[in-house]
Amino acid sequence: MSTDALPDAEIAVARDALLPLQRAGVGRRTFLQLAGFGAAAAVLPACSRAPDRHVVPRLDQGGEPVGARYRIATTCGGCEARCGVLATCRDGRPLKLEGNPEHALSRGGLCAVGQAELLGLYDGRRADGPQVRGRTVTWDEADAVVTQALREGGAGVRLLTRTVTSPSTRAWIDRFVRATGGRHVEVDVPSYSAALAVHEELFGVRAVPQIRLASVRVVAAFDADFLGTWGSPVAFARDWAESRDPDAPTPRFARHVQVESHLTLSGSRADIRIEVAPHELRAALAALCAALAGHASRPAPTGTAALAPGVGARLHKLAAALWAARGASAVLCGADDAPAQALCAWANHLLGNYGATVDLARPALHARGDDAALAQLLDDLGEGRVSVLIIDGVDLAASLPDARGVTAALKRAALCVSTSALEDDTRALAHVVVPAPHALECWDDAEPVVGHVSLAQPTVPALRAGRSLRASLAAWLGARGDDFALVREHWSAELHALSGTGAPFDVWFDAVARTGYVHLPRRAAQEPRPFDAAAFERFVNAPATPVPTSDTLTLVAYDSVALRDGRHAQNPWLQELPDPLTKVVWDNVACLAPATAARLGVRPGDVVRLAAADGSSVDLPALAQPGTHPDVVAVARGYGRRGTSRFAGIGPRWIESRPTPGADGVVGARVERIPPGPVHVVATGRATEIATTQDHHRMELPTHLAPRGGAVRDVARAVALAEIVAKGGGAPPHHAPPGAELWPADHAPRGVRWGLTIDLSACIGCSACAVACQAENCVPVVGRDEVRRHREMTWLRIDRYFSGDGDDLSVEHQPLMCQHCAHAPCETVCPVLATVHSEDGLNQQVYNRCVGTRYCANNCPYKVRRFNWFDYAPDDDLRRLALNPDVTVRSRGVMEKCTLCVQRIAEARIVARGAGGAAPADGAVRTACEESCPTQAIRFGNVEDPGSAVARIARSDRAYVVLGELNVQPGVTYLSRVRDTEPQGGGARDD
Amino acid sequence: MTDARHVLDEPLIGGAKSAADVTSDVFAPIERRATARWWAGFGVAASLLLLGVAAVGYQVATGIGTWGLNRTVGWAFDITNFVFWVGIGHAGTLISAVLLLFRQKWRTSINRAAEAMTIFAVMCAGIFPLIHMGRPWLAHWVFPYPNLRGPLWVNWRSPLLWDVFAIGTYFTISLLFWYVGLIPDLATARDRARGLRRRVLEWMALGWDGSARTWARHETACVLLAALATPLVVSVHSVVSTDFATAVIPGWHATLFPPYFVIGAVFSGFAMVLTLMLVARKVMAFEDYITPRHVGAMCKVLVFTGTLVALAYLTEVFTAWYSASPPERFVFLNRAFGPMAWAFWTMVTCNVLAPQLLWFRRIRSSLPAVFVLSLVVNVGMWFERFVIIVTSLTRDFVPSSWSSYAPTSIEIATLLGSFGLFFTLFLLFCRFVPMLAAAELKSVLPHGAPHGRHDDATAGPGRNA
Repeated sequence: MSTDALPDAEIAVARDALLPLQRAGVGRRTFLQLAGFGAAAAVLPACSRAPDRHVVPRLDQGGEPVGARYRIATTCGGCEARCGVLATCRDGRPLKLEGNPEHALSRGGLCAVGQAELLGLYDGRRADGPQVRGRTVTWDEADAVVTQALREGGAGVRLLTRTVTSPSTRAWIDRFVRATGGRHVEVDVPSYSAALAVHEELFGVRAVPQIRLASVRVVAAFDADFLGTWGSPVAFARDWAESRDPDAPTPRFARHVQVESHLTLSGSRADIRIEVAPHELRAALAALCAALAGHASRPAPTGTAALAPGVGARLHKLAAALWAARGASAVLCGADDAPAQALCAWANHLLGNYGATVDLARPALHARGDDAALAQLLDDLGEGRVSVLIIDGVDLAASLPDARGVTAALKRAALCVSTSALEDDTRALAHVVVPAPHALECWDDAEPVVGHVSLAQPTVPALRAGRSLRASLAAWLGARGDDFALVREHWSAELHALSGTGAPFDVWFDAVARTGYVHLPRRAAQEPRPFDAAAFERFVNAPATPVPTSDTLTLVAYDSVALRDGRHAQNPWLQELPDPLTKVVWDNVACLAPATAARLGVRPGDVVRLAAADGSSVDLPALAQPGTHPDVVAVARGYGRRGTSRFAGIGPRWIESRPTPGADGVVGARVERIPPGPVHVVATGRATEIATTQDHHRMELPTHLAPRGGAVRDVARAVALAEIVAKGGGAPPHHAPPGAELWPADHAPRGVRWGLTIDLSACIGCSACAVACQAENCVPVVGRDEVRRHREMTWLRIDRYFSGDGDDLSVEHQPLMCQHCAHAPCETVCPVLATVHSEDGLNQQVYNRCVGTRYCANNCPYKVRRFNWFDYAPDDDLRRLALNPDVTVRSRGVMEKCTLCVQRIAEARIVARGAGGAAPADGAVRTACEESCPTQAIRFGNVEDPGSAVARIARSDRAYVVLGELNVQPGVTYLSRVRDTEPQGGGARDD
Repeated sequence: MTDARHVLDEPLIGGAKSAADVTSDVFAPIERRATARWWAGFGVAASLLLLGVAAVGYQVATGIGTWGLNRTVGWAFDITNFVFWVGIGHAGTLISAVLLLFRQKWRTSINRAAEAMTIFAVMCAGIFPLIHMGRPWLAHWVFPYPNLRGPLWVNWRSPLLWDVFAIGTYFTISLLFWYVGLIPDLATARDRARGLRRRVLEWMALGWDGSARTWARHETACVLLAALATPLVVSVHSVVSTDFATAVIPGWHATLFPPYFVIGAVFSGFAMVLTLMLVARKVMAFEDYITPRHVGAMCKVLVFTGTLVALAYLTEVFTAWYSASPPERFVFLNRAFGPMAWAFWTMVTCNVLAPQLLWFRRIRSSLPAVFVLSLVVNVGMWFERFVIIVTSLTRDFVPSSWSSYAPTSIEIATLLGSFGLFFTLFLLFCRFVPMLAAAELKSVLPHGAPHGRHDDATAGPGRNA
């Protein structure tokens, strides 16, 4: 429990509770009289002897049993995609977030960041109330300072925000800008500015189009990690998975081609991956467009530049596939480069994708940042034209290169107001802090795509005194009202009419609040103009991007799946989430192609210095990462943030432990310090040990140790689409099912055996399941040093294997958790029977009985058991509120592992029994990993019930069990990954 | 073992000792003041013991995390040390029980110390299964006794439980055997002592009166206990080996393990006896009792068992190859050429190559050379267990979970502490208990078994009941 915040909150609650009494004219004396009478009345009946009978307490309050779970529909605040969320709450606080299946975009999926938002709520370091120059003040005092400055500020008022997805906030911003005469500047990190400009010029719509991938047959992504971080990854991932169903009677399998400079999540899942350096991206798009023009018998839109050998031919094949699937394909471009975006738009235009898969009439609203406006703002700041700068949601000082002088510029604003609740580089420069509440504790709304509107509701009384930007702007404009009133007012005035419902507003609003989402089909859509060829010419004739010289590499700063642009840098779940591609935790690294690393004489862990032409530099440990273009050094953004010094105390401390932050006191290095582009990479001579959860990245054994006939451990299997198409079904099982048993079965079938199926073809490695598991099962964070020692506690890990390199690189993601073996090797070896088999087929770990011999973990062929090496205290007492009360918190010295969310099974069993049923119906129990999965790759159910979904899936020809030859009879069945590597097969077929 | 004629040609005890000489020689160390050398040795040993106590105390208070283990390698120094110390203990039982049953008279000079070594080694070994537990304060849960914890019982299928019984039985029998053998000498010490010391010894000697009947019962008890202890020589390490052999991990999962472990234990035990005896005969001035002939005999045991160990290594590799199971084959390639190859080759050098030098009489008769070789074998046998446990675990089935292992300072201190405990106990033993079996030595004095009496060679006074 919080020690300093809750009493205040309780006092506030008590004060509010007394208000009606005061209004009713109940004075102090009357109150005391009533209280005294009440106490006497309560005591007198208690004087009789309690009845010596069975007492059945009535445990419901307002219809809900005490302690029961309930769900509140709300909206995720983790990024601008604003997925729908159902917050599972109990006792007045959220304990777990799930995707909202009724949200038409995210459709029940939730990514790793969304899952980790829960921990962001229980952050004791969030500011409690406003501050003026470091001093905590009342809201009135803070407002007085700000309104005074606003009155004097005139046209010098600037409001700098992230892209605002909330319609009601946007309405208040408009009012604020009108009232003050200032300006509103939106920024995105990374920027989508070029795409916005291109669409504005070519089609007259300043927006990024909405992409609908569910029905595409070919998707080509150019530097757009749409499954990981670009746009709306959860919605894209669901669409992507829907477009690829190899088990359908007629396999429906969209081909996915990724053109990128370093390995991304999307690249790791692509059927065909083409490596191009950033400076070649425009040329690659030009080559594609030229090839498409050839198919369309039209002149090529632009001259083509030279490309690396082989790339051109592959782009030609891609063009052929796209042309064959015109109208049902999509070309995506994530580069913030106007000519590239223009070529991408040209390609989609030629392919007839606009209006089909690429929708500009109902565009996405998650990215509206304007780089020109930001540059203007920095100019204004530098020249002292800004009187009041209000910054919301952007850590500007940490996001732009040092050379742009952001820190100095921010200091020149007469009054700088930050809404950041957590310490960051920008807030450190602000005069006034008006902390924003967490997304889970305030009313809000969001419209990430035109017409798709969701409502965010508080799931808990505010844990820290905060006020949203909307409420602050309203307050500064003299309008009183909390977020509830402001949001409601906007919905009543603007959205109700668009809903097309006949219901009165109150009824409609309550209904929307219940589901959390509403589709407003009448939301005004802007009809795009016809393609403007003249504007296109202007774009493609822009000057070329700088080509790195032979002694430099191109720095690519990318968003990591966990921290994104750094806004989640203070979330320990995300810091300790292994990067899906590098498997590094608590650090960012300089990813170099293995060949480049060898050429530079750099070994993994060697610290290299990235020195830009302007003299700025950053030091990072190097990592030889397959899939990186040889001319590229790729580094994750979002690290090296000021606030991460808080993690100095995380993890167990003992004589050989080392602190989690690096030498400069923060976690990782801030690569944003230097401008992207050519950098010199030199070894510093220092070395550090990178904390990774995986040391061996290939299923191929080291060549000098590989026995003949067993050079590969085929734990994560893949099959070519052509193979499936050829035989009109799935791949043959790799191993024949085990034959006769020597001994009678230990655990005879009893009708229920819980198990999982995991479709490796649908799994994108996004790690949402891993964080969901951590949240559901009270899995502790252990800190960098413990992970370095390979003592991460995760129950569900995602193994990532490489094979090949460069363009032939293939990447497998394999979620691995306890396999709940029927012949469990762990069960036989425990001397005290602390791990046993349940009647419903679970391999159970009895924490109370465990003495901690670790024999079970040694004997586990999958190495999924986790031992409590220490007592892992959270870094912050408030974090304890995030612990799931249904799950035991394990103490030092005991073993633990995946339980298949046994607490959820137990709850469903109780519900089923209460309803008169014997066992929960199929689908009534969903494990945390299953529920979060954006692509529905994980399914849970009773494998002994032939009618269950898992049993049906496990009958696929692609089904296999990992290490089947050991005959431990796992309860988890995997489905081989399908990959369309055959140039003439699959989704590219012209049918 | 050795050529019988040769055995009888050379006296077992040098220096033409009389029975009285034996008594005064054997009892001198416990009746005089401790020497400076003893104090120096004791100081070092006790310091190491204290270091170990501090390390274990810190580890129990803080967590197993103070060891270098990880999610992949759940056992390393802890169980290596356990198996190592259990193995050390074996020579004691073999020398006292098996050689007694086989009437090998040369054992009389070393059996007392070897038995003491067994007991101390098993004590050292027993610490590790206890402290390797995550919650050692619940260690009693591994014993099947009536309890109030509901239906909770132990898992009879777990080799760790078998260990509990194997080690428990072994320790009990070894202690009893040692103590019963000690009674006549305690009585002698009692008879020579005065005051408090005498009263304590009276109590410890259990009223020994030296009568023929007492001797007869003593002999019977010794033979019976020897017969009980003999199967333990085989069973204890066989059971310990099932910790690995019954597991599914390649490199552990091997039917060869029981005999392989037993022979390895005898090998390491004899090496440790040699180490101790070579020091003791110098320090305690027992050159006449522990003669080069004893050393030579033990060297021959060493070269024999060392060769058997080499055979086991080869068999293991052959089995892996013949199994055609890729994970099995990989384990051995990985041991020999993987990242921990240095440990494997240390093991091969120390256990297979080094003992072969003992084929040469020149080396067998050079006590410094034998001393060095005995240390080398001890190091090698420690590494054998380390290689089996750690290299197998670091790289098992799923490559993503492959890991490595390096000990922490706490683990090294704990290992040193176990040596500290062993030597502290051994030095106390040298100081307070007759280190040689005086009564039995007298039975092998030259006058007790006159030259050429083949038939009666095994019989000492009072030995034929």
